[in-house]
Amino acid sequence: MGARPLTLMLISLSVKLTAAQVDSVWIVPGGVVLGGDTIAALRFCDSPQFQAQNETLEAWLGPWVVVNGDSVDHVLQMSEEGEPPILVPAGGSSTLNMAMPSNSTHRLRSLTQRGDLLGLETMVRGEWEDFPHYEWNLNEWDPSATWSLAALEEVDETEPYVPRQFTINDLNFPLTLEDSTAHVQTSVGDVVLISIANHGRMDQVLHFHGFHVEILQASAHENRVGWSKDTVPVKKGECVVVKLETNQSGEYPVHAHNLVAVTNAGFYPGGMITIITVEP
Amino acid sequence: MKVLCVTCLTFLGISFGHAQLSPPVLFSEMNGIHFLEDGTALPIWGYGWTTDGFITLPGPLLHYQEGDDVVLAFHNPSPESHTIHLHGLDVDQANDGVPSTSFYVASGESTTYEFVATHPGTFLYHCHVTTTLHLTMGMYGMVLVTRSDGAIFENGPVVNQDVPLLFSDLEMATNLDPVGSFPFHDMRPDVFMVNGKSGSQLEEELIWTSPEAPTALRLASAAYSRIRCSFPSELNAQLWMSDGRAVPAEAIDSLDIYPGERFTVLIQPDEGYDGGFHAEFLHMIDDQLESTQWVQVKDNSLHPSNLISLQEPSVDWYPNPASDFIQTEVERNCKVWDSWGRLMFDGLIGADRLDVSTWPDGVYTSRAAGGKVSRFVVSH
Repeated sequence: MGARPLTLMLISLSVKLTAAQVDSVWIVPGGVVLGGDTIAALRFCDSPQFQAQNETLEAWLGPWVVVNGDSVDHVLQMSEEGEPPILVPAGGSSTLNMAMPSNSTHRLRSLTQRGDLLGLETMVRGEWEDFPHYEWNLNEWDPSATWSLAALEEVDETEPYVPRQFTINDLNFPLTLEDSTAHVQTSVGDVVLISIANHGRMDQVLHFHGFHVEILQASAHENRVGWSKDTVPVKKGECVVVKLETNQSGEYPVHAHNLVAVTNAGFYPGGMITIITVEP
Repeated sequence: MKVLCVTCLTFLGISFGHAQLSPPVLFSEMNGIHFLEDGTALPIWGYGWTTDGFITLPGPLLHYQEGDDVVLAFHNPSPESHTIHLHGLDVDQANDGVPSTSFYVASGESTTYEFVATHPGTFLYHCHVTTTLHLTMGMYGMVLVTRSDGAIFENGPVVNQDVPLLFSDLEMATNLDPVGSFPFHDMRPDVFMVNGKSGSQLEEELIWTSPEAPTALRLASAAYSRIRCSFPSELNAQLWMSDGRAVPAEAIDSLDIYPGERFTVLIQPDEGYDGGFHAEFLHMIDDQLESTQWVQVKDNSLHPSNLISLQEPSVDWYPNPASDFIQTEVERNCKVWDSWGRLMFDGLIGADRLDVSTWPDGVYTSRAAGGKVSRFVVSH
C-alpha cells in the first residue's frame, strides 16, 4: 500500500453558518420502507430534503457544515479515538474541518441513542489509490425501536435487541443491486476498492463468492492488513477496506455469513446481499 | 448455466449399487436424525455418501490434493431442491451453487460440480438454497485441500496430521419444525457442536499429538455464533493460514472465528501433555456466551493401547439392506428409530431376529446402550 505521510484529522466546532464557502450536509428526519417494514430514520442528506440513504462524505471535499434539521441536539463523533465530539444544536449547524489521512476510511456517527438507532451514521472516506471505489455502509434495524425514538421516547436498552432488517447503504436485497455504490460492476483484470463501515450494534461478516480480497484496512483487526480472505469480519464500529482484483467473469454474490442478516423481516433472501458483476 | 442430468439413481438405489460408482457420489436428504448429548434424536437435513446411504452432521469431509481437477458428483433424491456451494474455493459462476446465479438441483436430479483445487487449505461446502434454513438444518461440511509433501502450503511447515474441527450450532425448534420456523431474524441457536458433537460426545474427538511434529488444527465455522478458541500456552499454538491462504505466522492464545471463516492453527505440545482448549460460542447480536465446548488434546505417549477395546462397539446389522428380518452378531440392548425420529424398537436384540417385514422402506438408525450409532436400510 503506497501510504502517504499522514496528516492529523482536524475537527473544529463552529455554530456560525458558513454554507456559502463550504459544502453542507443536513441532518433530516423521515421514514423509509425496508423489506416490508416502515421505519423512522435520520439521515445525513445533501439537501434539506429527506433521502433514504445517508450521504457519504469524501473528506477531501470538506470542510462540511452540518445543519441539524432534527428537533433535538445531536452530538457527532468521528471513529478515531480521542477526537472530540461535535455538538450540532437543533435547528443550528456546526462545521467539520476534515483533513483526513490518505488511504483511510472512517465513520461519522451520532452519540445519541436517537441518532444511533435511527441510522444517523455515515462513511467518511479519505483519498485512496486511483481505482473505482465502492462504499458499503452496513446497518441493522429494529423498526419498533425507531418509532419509539421518533416519538421522542427512550428505548429501554435492557430489553433484548432483535433487529429484523439488515442493510447495505440503507437498502436491503434486492434493492442493493440498484445502488451503484453497493453493486460492484467491473471487468476481468480490473481492480476495485471497497470501503466497508459497520454502523450497527452487532458484528457482521461478509463472504465473497468467486474471489479472495486483500485487506488494506481493518481498524479492529490491524494485524490482518495484507491478508487475502474470502470471508471478512467487520466488527461493530469497524471500518474495513478491501482490494478486489477479478480473474473470472460472471456474477458473484457477496453476503453476510451471519445468516440471519440475509433476511428481510425474517424471510430469505434479503438483507445484506449484493453482487459483483464481472464483464469478460 | 449447466444442464442437469437426471440419472437412474433412486433413493433405493443408494443402498444397493452405488458402491461401484467411482468417484463417490455425494447426496442430500431431508430425513436424517442426529443424536444430541442427552440422547435426543433430532431431525436433520444433510449430505452423505451414496455408498453409505445415510446423511451425517456435519456432512462427509471432502478431501482433495492441491492441483486436483475435481469432479464432485451430486445426487439429490430429497423432496426439495438443494445445491453445493464450495465456500472459499473461488469456483466459477456455473459451479458456485447459488440458485439465482448458478443452478439448483431439483428433487431426483443429479449433477457434477467441477473446479481445480488451486490452493491448499481449509474450506467449507453447504447448500445455498434458502441458506438460512438449510444450513441450520445441517447441510454443510468441510473441504480440505492438502499437499502430498505434508507441508500446509508451498514452503510452509510440514505437519504430521490434519485434524478437521468444524464448529456449528442449531436451534432445536427449527429442526423440529422447519416448515414453521419462519421468520429467521430471531433465530437463537441452543445446540453448540464441534464436528457435530457436544459435551461428553466430544471425547470421541480427542486429539493425539506428537512432540516430534506439529498437528494442524483445521478450524472452520458453519455456526450462527462467533467462536472464540482459547489455547493454553502449553499447546504452543501458532496461526499459519486463514481462508485457504498463508498469513504471517504468529503465536496465539486465542482466536475468534466468525461464521464462514477458516483458520489453520498448528499445535505442538510437549511430551506428556494432557489438556486441551476451550471453544466458546458467543451470540452474534449481543455477544452473550451461549456455550463452552472442550476439545481434548493429549500427547501420544499417554495413549492407552487398550482404549479401543474399552469402547462399546456399534451394532453390526445383517443382512443390510434387509427386507423381512435383521439381526446382530452379539446380543445387545438397543433402540431403533426411523428417519422421522420415531422409536421403532427398544429392547434386546441378538439371536432372535428383528421382524422388519412391515416397516416402510428407508434408512433406520440404531444405538446400542453405551455404544455408537449405526444404520441399516429396509427395502422390500
